[in-house]
Amino acid sequence: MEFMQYTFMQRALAAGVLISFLTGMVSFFITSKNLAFLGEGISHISFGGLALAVLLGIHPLLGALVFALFAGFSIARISLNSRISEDTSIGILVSFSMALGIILLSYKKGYTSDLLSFLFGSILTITPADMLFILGSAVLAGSVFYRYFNQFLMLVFDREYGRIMRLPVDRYYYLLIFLIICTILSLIKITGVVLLTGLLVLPGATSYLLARNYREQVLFSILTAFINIMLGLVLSYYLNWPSGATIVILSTIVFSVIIMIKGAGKRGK
Amino acid sequence: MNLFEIRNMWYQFDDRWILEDINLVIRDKIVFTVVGPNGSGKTTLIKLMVGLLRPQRGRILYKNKDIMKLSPEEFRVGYVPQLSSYSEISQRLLLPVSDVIRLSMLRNKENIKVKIDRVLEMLQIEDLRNELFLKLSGGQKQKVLLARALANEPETLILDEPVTGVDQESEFHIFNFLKQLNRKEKITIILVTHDLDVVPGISDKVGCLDKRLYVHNKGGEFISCPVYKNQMKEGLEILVHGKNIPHRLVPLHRHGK
Repeated sequence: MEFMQYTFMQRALAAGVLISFLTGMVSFFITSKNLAFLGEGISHISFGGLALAVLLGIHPLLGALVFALFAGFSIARISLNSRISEDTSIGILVSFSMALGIILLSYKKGYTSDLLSFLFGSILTITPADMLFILGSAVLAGSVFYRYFNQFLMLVFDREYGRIMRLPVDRYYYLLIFLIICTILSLIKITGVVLLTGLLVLPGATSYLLARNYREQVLFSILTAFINIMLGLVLSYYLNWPSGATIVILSTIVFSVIIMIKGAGKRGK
Repeated sequence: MNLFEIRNMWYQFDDRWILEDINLVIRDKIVFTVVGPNGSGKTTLIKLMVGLLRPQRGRILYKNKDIMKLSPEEFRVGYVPQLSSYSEISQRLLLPVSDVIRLSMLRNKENIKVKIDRVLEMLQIEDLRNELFLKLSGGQKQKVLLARALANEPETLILDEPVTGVDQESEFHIFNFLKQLNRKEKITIILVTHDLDVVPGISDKVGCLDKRLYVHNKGGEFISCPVYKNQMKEGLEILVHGKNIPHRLVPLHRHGK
């Protein structure tokens, strides 16, 4: 347990515990509702915000938050009210935001280490402010999930029937996207924008293979996220590998082993 | 009492009128069947009646009030979607049957367990209670969706092609159940189907839809259904069930028309 004497590892592991809950819960809903591309879209769109914040000299997460909120709610609005599909709107916004980020960065003189840590993740750079943000997100998400879990289930299982019941299902959808954004921003320092989708998808996909019902899906999703994140962080310390890449590779191996044991086609498509 | 009243309703999608000048009155405690070929606008009509779509022109009233302005307590309508073309249901959520029904009662949380038991028993699917919805056969899924629609004790039940993709035994059971539901529980039933064979045995009133709606409501009479003239040279008449007249479908020419 030599790694526990280092502050950066203590912070990373503490963040990992909180993020496991957030990621596991959100991943369950993302995989159940086929929102993986939305998650990937929001995380990549936040790159433009990160670049703008670095250029302006403000906290990068603030820029990412503004861009992610704008992107998440725009995509949701477009998909709910327009003839343009969700995938198309994500594709347009991702390429626009990435292009904007690249142009903005061309104005930045010198080494942009800050931005690289957000792109590829770096547990060395987790600050007390980041910890506070992650804690706040976990508490907020925990309360919302506790209060609205059944409503989110209805949204995921059959949104149209929810509308007929006169439930405000569109509002639940916006709320779920807000929680996805909180999770993405909490994960950025550990996995980076580039690898983030893996953690949004793999816990939910793994739990789907193992679970017998939706309660087990949620439980196994959180447990899978917890084991992969904590073990990944420790492995990355001993192997001297980047944390995000180690966690994603470990998660993929765990998923692959389970799918080989359980059989890929067992649950249909 | 009039339950549904549709006045001069038009609905457009992609610059094309799907429904034109629909006028309809549905009284309570009857079985109203809407027939029409594929693409005639049946599902669109149903979606308008449950408030999933809004018409560009005209009004839809439920008990003399605009359906969009009704509270959930006032709009006591159960809906069973067309399973074969209903893509809303998640294929990744491992939800047991009892929870599928429970989620339909998020607004009315009293006696949930009793209500679930009641509808499972009504449809004789108690043994499916803990089964995953995704693993059920088409017929079983349809019964569960019917149970879900009944859980909130609706006064009107709207069903969109309830036996499409369902085996014959389940089809027989579902239609018998609907008949009993209408007679014993006095639930108004609005049924959409493209299968003309099922119409005579169950309907009090029939509407033939092909952009426009042709409505007939006299029990025990043969009615002409002009929308089928393209499919059968002679056109088709539908017998709305009456006390002494056998239920059947017959081409127009058999009656010398």
